[in-house]
Amino acid sequence: MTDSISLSLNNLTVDYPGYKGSGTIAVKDVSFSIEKGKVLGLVGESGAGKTSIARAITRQLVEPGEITAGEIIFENKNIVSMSQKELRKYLGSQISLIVPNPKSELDPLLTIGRQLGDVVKTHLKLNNKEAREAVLKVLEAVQIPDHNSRYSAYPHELSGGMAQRVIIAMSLICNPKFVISDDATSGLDVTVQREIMKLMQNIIKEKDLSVLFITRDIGLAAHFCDHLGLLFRGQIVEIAPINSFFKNPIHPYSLALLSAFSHSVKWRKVYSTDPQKWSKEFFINGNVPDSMIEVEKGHLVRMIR
Amino acid sequence: MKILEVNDVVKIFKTKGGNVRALNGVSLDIDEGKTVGVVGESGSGKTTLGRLIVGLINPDTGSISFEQRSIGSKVNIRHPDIRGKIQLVFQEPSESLDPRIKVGDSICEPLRGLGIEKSSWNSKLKIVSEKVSLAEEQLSMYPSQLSAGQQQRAGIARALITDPKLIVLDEPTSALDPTARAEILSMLQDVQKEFGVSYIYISHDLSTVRYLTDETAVMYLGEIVEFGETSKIFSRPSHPYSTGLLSSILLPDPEIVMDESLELSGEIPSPINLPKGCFLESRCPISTKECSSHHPDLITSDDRLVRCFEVEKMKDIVQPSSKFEDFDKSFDDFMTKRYSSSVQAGNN
Ligand SMILES: Nc1ncnc2c1ncn2[C@@H]1O[C@H](COP(=O)(O)OP(=O)(O)OP(=O)(O)O)[C@@H](O)[C@H]1O
Ligand SMILES: Nc1ncnc2c1ncn2[C@@H]1O[C@H](COP(=O)(O)OP(=O)(O)O)[C@@H](O)[C@H]1O
Ligand code: SF4
Ligand SMILES: [Mg+2]
Ligand SMILES: [Mg+2]
Repeated sequence: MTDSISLSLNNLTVDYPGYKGSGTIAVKDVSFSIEKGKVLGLVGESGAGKTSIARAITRQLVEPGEITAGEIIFENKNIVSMSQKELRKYLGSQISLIVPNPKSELDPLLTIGRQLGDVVKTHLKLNNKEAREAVLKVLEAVQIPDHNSRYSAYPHELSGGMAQRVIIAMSLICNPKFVISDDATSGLDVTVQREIMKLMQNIIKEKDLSVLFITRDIGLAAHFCDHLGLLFRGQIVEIAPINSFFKNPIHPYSLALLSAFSHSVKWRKVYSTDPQKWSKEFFINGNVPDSMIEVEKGHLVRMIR
Repeated sequence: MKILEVNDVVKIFKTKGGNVRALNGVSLDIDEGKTVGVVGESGSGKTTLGRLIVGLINPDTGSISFEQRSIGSKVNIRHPDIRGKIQLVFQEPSESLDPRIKVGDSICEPLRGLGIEKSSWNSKLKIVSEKVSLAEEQLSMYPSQLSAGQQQRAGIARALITDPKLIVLDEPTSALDPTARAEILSMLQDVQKEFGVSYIYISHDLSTVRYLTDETAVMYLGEIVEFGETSKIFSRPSHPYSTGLLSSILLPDPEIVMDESLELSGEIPSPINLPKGCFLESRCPISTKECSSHHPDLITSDDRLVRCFEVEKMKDIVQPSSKFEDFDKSFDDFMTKRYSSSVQAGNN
């Protein structure tokens, strides 16, 4: 383990036991590392296990989800084996999670100033005056226009883009080192998404944050991430530095996703998201291979030779 | 032949907070067998326009005619001559399917209102479900047993079963995964080729609009700000709002960087207190004094309609670009190479 790594997953497996009769292994043997100050994009379709990974890292898996194997190492400590007390110290202050649907995350009955203030009071033990100052500062940092008067606004008075900025503010207010963004801009208009992404990019640079950036949009990931991992049915099928991935995508699932995004009917016919149609390097005896091959430095593909 | 003509429609919703001016004089035509895209941020009035066209709500002023007949209080959507000829597909597939009714029965449901004999329902069901690639066993399932993509296919089958001339598709793919989205879009194209149906495709996903539509209407705060052939708008947008939208498209290639020169700032103003001048003035990167006091009209400029005082200046600023075609071509070249090398290596 080197000092340049912020967070790494080692063979993480997440299970939802007993669901619909048999158990669902939502995340299977997933490993990756995120360097300090870098953004790892995690792309996959609905149900691939993205949110399960995010919630495993913050140990907030929805019932009956549980981590059944593997480690999550953050700053040389294993989150999986932390006590609840230790965990609380990390969550909110060191690691934070940004979710979609900002409005459902905010309490409709409290002003945004109050909600943000409560966070810093709990985690950073600030008094009322200090909390107010911290809140105003973070609202300004996320470029909420008129932030002094928005301090006393209620969530319903905000547009979707504005509410998403408040959620980002909430995730940043305790100066975390690691941020997980789970589909945080889906549902926003492209122009608003663009502004929010620019804002996040600036904050990442300024604060030297490390980020796990979860999205279904490979176009967005292409422009925002340093590394990219493709998740398919709970497993990483390809992971690489961003340029290496786009210069040389290899896994049929990667090629299928790129073809879908490019609306290429021709190539969608060639590359399918159905493993049955993949060649035997990628799918053999009814299974994807257990191991990955390094095709270039840091560029791994789930296949056999 | 024109199948639908929307003429200067205005729609105001009276709410506690004030009058919401959802549509402020929108005109739009669509030819038989063609697809018009309607794009714009949320709140720009797209859904309201769609609901007016299918007759779910009536305009305050202005008119809509379908096959040269005006739709209004006398001849409405339920008139025997029109019923079933215009259909709507919703954003949420669940909105067109009743959770307690089997998918196949939901698809047939519109036939009931048309008084079509039950004996012919099955053959119609077979045709449309084949068209949207739903398997027979899926027809006897309940909506919750289908994936989002399959549910949307069922929603489209339900729209197709009455043999419509026009289908309004209100963000039909935004709840779907990329691969399901791509499949639905190419299916819609196939259906159009076969049945000659016209589409109004409402979306804020610009890359799909480029793919599917012949003409595009760009909307902002209840108005059309630019209208023209899709390929022309995409290669050289003329309105600052169109430029802002198009430059926000993220193509899946990190080397194609976004053009930041004409970026929009801020957010869409409230439709309750509409600005006096140009509606875009608060966000427009090239606004002038005139823009805050006067409201521009939609005028013809070369090959399209544009609502902007600075349309001549825009022609200087925005040069024609083949960014999207270039992307298509380089993607195809790339994949061709990729494919032949994997075939050589025996990988495919
Ligand atoms: N609370 C739960 N109980 C049982 N199974 C669950 C639960 N939450 C998720 N799953 C299952 O785990 C798998 C992964 O789900 P997850 O929510 O992590 O996917 P995702 O990649 O975040 O998808 P999306 O893009 O739709 O958000 C799915 O098969 C899902 O059905
Ligand atoms: N039934 C309604 N009552 C009040 N306001 C409405 C109603 N329907 C739509 N609006 C308002 O009209 C405007 C246009 O909405 P809509 O047509 O849904 O836009 P879009 O589909 O482009 O997002 C918005 O400001 C919206 O809040
Ligand atoms: S009229 Fe003025 S404010 Fe409106 S789009 Fe044109 S330049 Fe911008
Ligand atoms: Mg999720
Ligand atoms: Mg809408």
